[in-house]
Amino acid sequence: MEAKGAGAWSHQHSGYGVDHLRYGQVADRGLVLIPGLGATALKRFFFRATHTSLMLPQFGEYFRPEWFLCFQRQVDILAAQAKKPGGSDVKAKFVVLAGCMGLLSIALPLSAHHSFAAEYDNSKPVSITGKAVRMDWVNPHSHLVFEVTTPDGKTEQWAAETPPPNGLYRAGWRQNMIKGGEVLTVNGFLAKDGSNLMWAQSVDFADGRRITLNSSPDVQPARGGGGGGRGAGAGGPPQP
Amino acid sequence: MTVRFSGFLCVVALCAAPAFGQKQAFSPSKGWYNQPDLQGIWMPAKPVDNLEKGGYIKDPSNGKIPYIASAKAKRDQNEKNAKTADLVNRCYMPGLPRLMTMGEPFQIFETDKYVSIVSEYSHTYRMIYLDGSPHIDFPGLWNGDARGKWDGDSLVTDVINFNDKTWLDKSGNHHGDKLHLTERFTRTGPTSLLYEATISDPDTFTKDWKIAVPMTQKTGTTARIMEHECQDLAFGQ
Repeated sequence: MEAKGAGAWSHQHSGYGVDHLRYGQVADRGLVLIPGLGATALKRFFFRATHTSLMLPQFGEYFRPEWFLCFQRQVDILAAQAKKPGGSDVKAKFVVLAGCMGLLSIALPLSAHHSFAAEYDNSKPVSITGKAVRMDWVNPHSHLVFEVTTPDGKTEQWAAETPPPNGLYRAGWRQNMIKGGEVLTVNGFLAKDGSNLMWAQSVDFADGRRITLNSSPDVQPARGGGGGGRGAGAGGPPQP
Repeated sequence: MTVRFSGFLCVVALCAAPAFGQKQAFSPSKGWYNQPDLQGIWMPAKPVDNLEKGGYIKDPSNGKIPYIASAKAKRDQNEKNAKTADLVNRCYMPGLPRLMTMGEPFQIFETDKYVSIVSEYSHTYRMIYLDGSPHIDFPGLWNGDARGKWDGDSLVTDVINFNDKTWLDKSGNHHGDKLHLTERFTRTGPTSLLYEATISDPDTFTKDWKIAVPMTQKTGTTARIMEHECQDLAFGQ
């Protein structure tokens, strides 16, 4: 089957029951230039990723339209390169790979169950040192309130959001740990709205201890039940 | 054959003998884990609206809660403002011993490692661990942290780590976060259970005091804990 307007480009017969003409026009033009990467498999994957119902908004975090645009853009660059006399084929291929891999990597963060991604910017990790004021041990998220002295000598009040009390307990946090006045460093991510709010991924205490809070989606999976905490799970007896 | 038959007669005679003596205290069956079987669906014979009215207080004998003066004033305040001050009206957990006495049925499940009590009230449950482990370092709990052990045919619990937000009943009787509760569950008959509790809180009461609330069992094929969603209608559905 000949694709419309395929011209000098070759095309593949997809066999998936999708619109062969569109497939021939779009995916072929991009992926045919990346041999050695399992071009056919890649073609199928990216085509389906960008042309299936996974493009619905609720999956926006997982499969972004940019993947598809990436190909369009890179294909344009490639075409321009190819048209230039002496244009480098290798460079063009590299541009395709680099650009698309770059977009792939930022498409992956999860829309976490507590909309972490909506509130905090995990591309901006920070470590802020201050004096503890208090800890609000509440559900659904607890807050560590601390005072930061800015370089020009002013003090600002900051809050770091943490997992809920049960999560804190399982991470080894105890309610009497924050006495007020002690210096600590909160490591985490800034809130997107620019306020003095951050998500606490771990806290370093003055005596060198670090408590890691395992509820952020970018951290390793939780270590498990924690020290003295009761095991979670569907009604099993407590571990001896 | 003859020896065996007479042996059987002897056994029958021995078994019959106690029946001629004093009335035996009820002894619950030993259940699956060879411990007193308290399992079943229980509820107070009557809901406890006010611990001081209904003869529930066994000690002190005057049936009045031994409040310190400021706590008694707070109780009277609570009673006046019950509609807004009682957090159960806003669908929060009732705490203890109110969860047991408020009139909602609860089902007791037991293994050799824990007893779990599932209340029909708004998906509230409590776990009583029998493994002798220490209490967790986690104060401010609504239902406290409970450990239990068997004392004869009774389950005796030790519960601490309460917050001060819950009431002891719907009439404003209250406690502080130093509440230390010791409960005793004793099956007094095939369909009856006695729930006793010793309430201790030096910030609120002048001395420890004791209540006893008899429970009856819901039996029959239709006895089940039902779903109950507490809906705080002030915020809509």
